[in-house]
Amino acid sequence: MDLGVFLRTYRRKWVVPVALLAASVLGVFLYQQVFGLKESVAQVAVLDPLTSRPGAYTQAQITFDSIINSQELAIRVGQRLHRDPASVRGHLSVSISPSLQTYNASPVYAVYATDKTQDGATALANAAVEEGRLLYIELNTPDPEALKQALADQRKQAQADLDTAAAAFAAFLRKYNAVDLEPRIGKLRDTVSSLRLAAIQARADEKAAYAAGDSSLGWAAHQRAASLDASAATQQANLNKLLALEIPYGSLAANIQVAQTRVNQLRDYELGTLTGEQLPLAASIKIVDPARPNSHQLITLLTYAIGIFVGALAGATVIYLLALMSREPETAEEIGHAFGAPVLGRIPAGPVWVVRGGQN
Amino acid sequence: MKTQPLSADAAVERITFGRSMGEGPFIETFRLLALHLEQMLRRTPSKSILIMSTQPGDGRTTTATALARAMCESQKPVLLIDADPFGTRSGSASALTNGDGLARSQHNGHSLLHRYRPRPELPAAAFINDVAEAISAAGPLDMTAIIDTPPCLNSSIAFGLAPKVGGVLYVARPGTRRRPPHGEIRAQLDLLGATVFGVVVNEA
Repeated sequence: MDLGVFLRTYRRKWVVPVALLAASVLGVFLYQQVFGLKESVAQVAVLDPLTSRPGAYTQAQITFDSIINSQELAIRVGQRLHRDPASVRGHLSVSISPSLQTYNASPVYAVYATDKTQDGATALANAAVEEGRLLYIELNTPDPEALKQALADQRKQAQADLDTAAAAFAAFLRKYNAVDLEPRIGKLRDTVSSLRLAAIQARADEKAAYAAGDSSLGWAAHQRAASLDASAATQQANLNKLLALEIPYGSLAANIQVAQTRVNQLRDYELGTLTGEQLPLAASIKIVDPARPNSHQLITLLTYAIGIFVGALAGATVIYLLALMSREPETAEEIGHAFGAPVLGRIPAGPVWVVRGGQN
Repeated sequence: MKTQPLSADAAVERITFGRSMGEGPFIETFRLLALHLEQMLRRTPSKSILIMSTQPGDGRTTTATALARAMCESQKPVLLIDADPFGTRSGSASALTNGDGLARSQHNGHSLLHRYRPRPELPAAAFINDVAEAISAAGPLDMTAIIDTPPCLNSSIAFGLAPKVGGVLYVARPGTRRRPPHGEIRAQLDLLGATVFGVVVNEA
């Protein structure tokens, strides 16, 4: 479509886009009045026990954001504010406030609450933060008796594991007669080495005797070397049998070591718990900022901007369609432009010009 | 070529209905148009103007008649040729004559307005040649020929005559339905080697 036609239609039908623009702005205004909610935000800092005592044995922590989004919190806040828990849950949200730290184990949570009134939003945010804090402490604080029982159970299990490993080791020793396996292996290695060295010496003596022409002495040396080789072979066979037991022997011994270490750790922790040194930390949670109104100015401006854009776009679309469907007569300029010649004259409208009975 | 005498004043009075052509924006438009065209005709070998349009009712005859009248007012002799063999012999053109042939009008004792109408029963080629001869005949008499043609979307007479005249005056009426193919018509005229003077837009 010719841009001139579009602009001309726009100029003639300017009321249409203006009306659509006004309608869209009015629509946004009504939307803001009917559905627009006020928002308040509160800041809550949650200190992670792992951060304060790295490496310590701690129970799993239930995170604060999970608690804010929980139904239990909605019920508690609803009871506190005399509201329906479903509406409470739908008007609460939580996010972590940005931090310059790459990893922040103790985050600051921002709890958002929306309501039709600013006071309502603020009250909801404060109630959610307070109830959330209580629920967080309640859920994350350890029970000493439960802890002791859990430790006893774990130590019992560890002791059972140790006993099992020791029994398996003992059975292995009995079955293969592997008591003092490593010293025996060392002793046998020494014996085999001595026998082989003695056999080498006997052969050297044999060669020397034959070289000196003493054949009887040479034969005796030969007999001794053969006897030493046979003894070395026998001891080597015994050594090989013991070496085959070395790997399972080491594995069973290591199992005993691991089980023993676990038993020792639990015993130490249980002792520390009894003396109050290693109790898991009670959850630490602090309200940094009570609820305060959260400005929605930017979102409101964006909403109006979108409304204006949509209204203008709708107006332009309607004008485009009107221009497409319009039966506007050509102008003299358009005819001249289309014909490619100047307009030399225009027969003016005015008093009726009637040609009597003519075609033209 | 037959001629019949005719009073110019009487003719003009007969082609208008309900008002006078003597003064007012209507005739002033054609007086100005006549001035433009007289200037343009000085640069053409033939002092002839072909009036063409696309459809019936565009105002060709009105333009031709009023233009002839405006030129007569400036003491220029005019030959008005009715080259529409299909149209009824009525209306403003027929108001200038009572039959075929060249009609002569008198104005203050001078012969200024003449009309020629070829026989409509002639074949198209002969019809065009007849009109061309009338145009040629008007030249030595120092007459400006104004040729009123049938709608060019219905007849090729206008295109056939276009290369034989000094220039073409295209009449168009702004329409609200289908827009005439102005560009294509202009392209055809250019292909035929016709000179285009300009456009008259009938806004009446």
